[in-house]
Amino acid sequence: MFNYNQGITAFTKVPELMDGVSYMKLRNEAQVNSGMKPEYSNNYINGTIKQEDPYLYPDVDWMEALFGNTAMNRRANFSARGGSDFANYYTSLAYYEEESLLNTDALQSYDASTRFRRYNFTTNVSMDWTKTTKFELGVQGYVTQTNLPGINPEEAFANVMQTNPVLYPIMYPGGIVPGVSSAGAQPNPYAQVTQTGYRNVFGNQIYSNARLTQDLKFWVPGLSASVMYSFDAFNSHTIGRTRNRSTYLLNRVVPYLDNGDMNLKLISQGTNDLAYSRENNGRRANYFEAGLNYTKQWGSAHNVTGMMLFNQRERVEAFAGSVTSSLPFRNRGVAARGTYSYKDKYFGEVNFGFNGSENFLPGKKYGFFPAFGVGWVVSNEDFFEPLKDVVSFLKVRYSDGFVGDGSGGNRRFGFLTIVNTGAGGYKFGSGTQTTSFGGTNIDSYGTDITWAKSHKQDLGLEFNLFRDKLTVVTDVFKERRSGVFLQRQSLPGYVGLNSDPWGNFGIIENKGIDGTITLNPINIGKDLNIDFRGTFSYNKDKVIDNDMPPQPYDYMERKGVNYLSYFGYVAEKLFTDQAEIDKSPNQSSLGATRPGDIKYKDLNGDNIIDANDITRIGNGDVPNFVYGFGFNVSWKQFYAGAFFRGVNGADRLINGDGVIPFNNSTGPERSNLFWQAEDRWTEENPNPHAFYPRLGYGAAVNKMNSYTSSWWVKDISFIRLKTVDLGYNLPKTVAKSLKMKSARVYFRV
Amino acid sequence: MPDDVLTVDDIFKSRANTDKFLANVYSYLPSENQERYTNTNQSGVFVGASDEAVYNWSFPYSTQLNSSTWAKTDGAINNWWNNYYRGIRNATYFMSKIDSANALEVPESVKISFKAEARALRAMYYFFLVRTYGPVVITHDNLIDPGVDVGNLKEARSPIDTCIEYIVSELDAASANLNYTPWNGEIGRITKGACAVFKEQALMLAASPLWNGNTAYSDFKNIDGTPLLNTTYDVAKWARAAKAAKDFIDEFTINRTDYALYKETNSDPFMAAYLSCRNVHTTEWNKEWIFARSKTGSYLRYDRTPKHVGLAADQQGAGALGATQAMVDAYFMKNGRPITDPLSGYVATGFNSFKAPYDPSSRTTYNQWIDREPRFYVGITYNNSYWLYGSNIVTNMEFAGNSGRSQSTSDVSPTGYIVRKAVPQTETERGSPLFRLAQVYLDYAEALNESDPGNADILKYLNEIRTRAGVAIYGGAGLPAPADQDAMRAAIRAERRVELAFETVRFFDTRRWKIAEVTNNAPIYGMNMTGNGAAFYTPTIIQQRVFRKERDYLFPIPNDEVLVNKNVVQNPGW
Repeated sequence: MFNYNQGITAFTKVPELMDGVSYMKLRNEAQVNSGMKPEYSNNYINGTIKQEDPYLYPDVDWMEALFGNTAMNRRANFSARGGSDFANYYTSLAYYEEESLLNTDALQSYDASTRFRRYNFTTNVSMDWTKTTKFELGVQGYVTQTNLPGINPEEAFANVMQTNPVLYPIMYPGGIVPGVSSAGAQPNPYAQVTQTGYRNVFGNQIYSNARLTQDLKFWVPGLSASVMYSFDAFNSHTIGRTRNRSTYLLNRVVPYLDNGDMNLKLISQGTNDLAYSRENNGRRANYFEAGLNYTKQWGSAHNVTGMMLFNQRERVEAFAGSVTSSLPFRNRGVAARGTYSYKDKYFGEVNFGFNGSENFLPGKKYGFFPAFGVGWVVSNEDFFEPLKDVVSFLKVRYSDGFVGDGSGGNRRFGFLTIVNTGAGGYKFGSGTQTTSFGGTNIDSYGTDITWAKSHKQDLGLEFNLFRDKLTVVTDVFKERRSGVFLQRQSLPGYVGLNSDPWGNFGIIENKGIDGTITLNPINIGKDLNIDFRGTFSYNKDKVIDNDMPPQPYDYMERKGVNYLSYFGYVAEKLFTDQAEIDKSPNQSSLGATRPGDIKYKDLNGDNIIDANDITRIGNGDVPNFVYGFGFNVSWKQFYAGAFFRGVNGADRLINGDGVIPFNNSTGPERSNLFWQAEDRWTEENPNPHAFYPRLGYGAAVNKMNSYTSSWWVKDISFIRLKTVDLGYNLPKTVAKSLKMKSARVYFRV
Repeated sequence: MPDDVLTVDDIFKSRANTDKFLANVYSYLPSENQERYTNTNQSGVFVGASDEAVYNWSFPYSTQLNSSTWAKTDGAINNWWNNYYRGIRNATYFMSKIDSANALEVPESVKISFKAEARALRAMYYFFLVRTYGPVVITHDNLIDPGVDVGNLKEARSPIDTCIEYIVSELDAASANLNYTPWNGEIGRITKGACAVFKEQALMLAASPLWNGNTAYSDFKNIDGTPLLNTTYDVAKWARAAKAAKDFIDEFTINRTDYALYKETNSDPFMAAYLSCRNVHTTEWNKEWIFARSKTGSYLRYDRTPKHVGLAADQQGAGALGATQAMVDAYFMKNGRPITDPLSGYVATGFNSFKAPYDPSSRTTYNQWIDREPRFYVGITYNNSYWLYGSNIVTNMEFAGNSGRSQSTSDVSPTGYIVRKAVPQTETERGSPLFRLAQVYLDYAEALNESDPGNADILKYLNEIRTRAGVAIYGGAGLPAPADQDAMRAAIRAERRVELAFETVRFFDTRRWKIAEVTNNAPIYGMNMTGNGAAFYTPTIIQQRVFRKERDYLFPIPNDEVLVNKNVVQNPGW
């Protein structure tokens, strides 16, 4: 079988940046608001409006400079299967290629286009060695080739938000790179993508597994045994040919020399030669399992199955950064399961896991986690027979059990106190007479850590209506995780620990419900078919314990709310004027308060806004309600389908560099503005609910507004049309004339 | 389970790891040459947040202090606190283990010396904490169990005098087991001199108005009612500080010659003074340096070298650390008089031809900057001055100039002056000085003037500083000695401000003396950075500074700390 796809990619949404003239006006406004002189003269702004000289009056949309509108991707697959009575095979080859939206400079002699290529291969063979012995061997893998610019494109993207539109032009004539800092600050994002050379990343991954299954029915009927071993390896290497070119800046006061040449001043000394660098990465993993399976039926009513499995996993990071992470990651466990069913009406299951983890003290390494489940297919009972026309299937089930987590949090060997020989060191001496010592200290403190346990309960209801045309599956679940790995948060700084120890400090509860409703294809009229599918999932979690000391006020408690909750001040509005500030609770412990700043809510009623007025202000960015629904309609040879997906109950705290204008952590002049900056508080238009508070220039004047507060928490619930399919199946006769079994033309988004 | 991994029990079996563990204890010493990125190697905010200088950049944490927008939840406040306490715990741990170290690799003499170094470092870290946060929690030799139940943590802050006593007694104990010269000749290790200077500094702090009888802090008490300072002034504290300074001078500069004021010779006495005052900073570990963080990172070159656009990269800097007009005005005239003295000969406007000590030729210079004392030329890069390194480089900070605002709005002086003191030609790892002898002289004069006004040593040591700086001494020809205790206090303070400018001293002086509510609560002035030519030379407000005297004298205790343990009370006003 062969298939080929050609696709086009484009950004769904691109941040819209402010143009140069508006940027300058806003910067002037911010500076005047901050008691400073405005940066840009009217003359200069007028020059930019007129665009007389794009080198002297640059006005660059860096997003546009960096990215093209569309890029291509293509995909091809080939697969084949076959075999005889004793052996079967399956093999496939696939190719995938994707170009990026980044622009390149056609003048460069090397290829710095960003491009990804992947070749996949799969072969699976299964053989019957004897009548009772089966051997399977599978090998899958891929080879990737990635071409990248000399620097990471993410970095250039981040720099777009650090490069204002009037800083410098994209390039000067003759391929000269503009820059402003001899120390390399505010590098030109376009030059980063197009002028820094290139990197080739070559990666390969192999997954292999061999399984031997022996039927033991000659010994005990229904018994079989299998062993499986798999080996996975990943390797990659990167060859870099990169450079940093010299940068220049046009003198703004005397831009042109008497002979008409541009008066470019050297800013930083670089080179046009490509330097060589190399980087390697890799990891490998081993997995072994051995198991026994048992199936037995007594009469027509009783079914029993049993399973016992031993497994062991090992993973090694080939280029680990430290001794601790270079040690193999290991897990070992035994699992067993037994099931019983009676007449397809009653089902029961017991299982357990006995798992070992490297992260705990000998003696605490293994955890025992039992579980059971019961089910009842009500619709198979005799008394249900009359209802079957309406309710064709009805099942109730319940499961209850424990699962363990042996990961130990973000820390390996949590029981061990680990010494770090790469801690901060010290150099004695002066000039060339130096004695230098690396540092050793106690990096992480060993604690009495053990398995985290999760108690899961699930009640399920499944039913089909109208001769299975409508099927519904719903589950109500509850999970209580105890001994959750958390870093201690309650130890005061004066204890002097180099890091907070990990322990089983958390208890978290999660409850929810999810379900799927499917309407199987039904005919309406002769040629019209329709089907429908919907899913939803709702959950709510709650921190019961987290090793935090009791808070002075209940509303500050981080227990009793969901784990990812945001905490901060409650923003009410923007201050209208000084009179309002004067009669409002005092915010001065947070900084200077000006009209147009965020007014925070005084929660404890002491008329002072301080750290005691912090409370829960958001749910976090993981939605607690996820849903999707879609349908397909077909009419004769035509068909159409759509699928919608939505999330609810998620919000995001927007923070970081670039969110608040002129408040970058690396300096206000590095702030690029989003178009939203137009919607701000000004004296002329003191909108108390504008998107942005009054503009200010620098970290101090923006301090009041930069605290974590509900002002910056934005709802990110959405519903989107995920896929649309439109197509036409060629009539069989036409397909046949093209020597094909079937063929179709389609469009998919 | 990992084997052959270094465990706690193995550290002190080998000399190499013992060395490295102690090196880590050392690594918490602050590297003040890295102030640009606050908290880097414990660097502080002390030049940019004093009235002597201001960064053009807003990211150094000094920005938040200058506008009084700092808050008890700020990360920087947490970092200093937590890191010094880490240094303290690591030192305590080292001290608890070193005695049982493998004797085959770590001989007894090394154990004694290293233990004393760790003890001294621990006391120094307490000093750095007390200097900024005030009274702190002292954990003595306790290593609090990482698994401790928080409910059992009952530690409270110790009163300031208890903290100072602890620091002093620990330094004394350490000093007894240390030498005058660093162990194994390794410059930067703790010596007797280093212990003595920290002791003297701690006693100066305790004697100063902020902590000695400060009635504004009468409600500053622990939860059990223990006052955290004595609100009754005690002159004996000054006497004790004076004695500590005198003991230092006697022991290290008279009975022995470990330290001395740095002096260069030149046929031109003005030039000699200029070179002495300049090179005392650029010549690492000369005899005047008592203690420094050795061989550490530095951002001084880029901070203090003007933009100099178009020149090679090593002659280009940011020049973003601007000196304030107030600091420029604080320098004396060549004749040793302040510019406010009608006899000083100071001219505030106009231009003349003038040859600065570093300049091969005369050039047109604003009258304010003509015939100032040598330390002015050491400390300040002013407009149209000749650059210290390279050749034929003249710094122009006017709007269109090679270091003006038209070149960069980021890497530019905020004030039209750039701090020049201590600027190196290339950025290499070097010592970041903590205390030098000149400060001990000035401390001595100050403490003596408070405890024993009229004592001849006051003038003697004050004049030692002036002599080296090439300015007329008080009580010499044409310059009368200050008339009384108050006048002498003013003279000593004026001298300190100039001699120790940009050395992180002024920040603490203005707080010790409780004058920050004046000095740091006023606009900062400079030149007009958007002007060219004559328009440049217009006094311009650069920054409006705010200092809330009810809270800003002390760093806040990190908010988390106060939430966890109710016995740790917050500082006044926070």
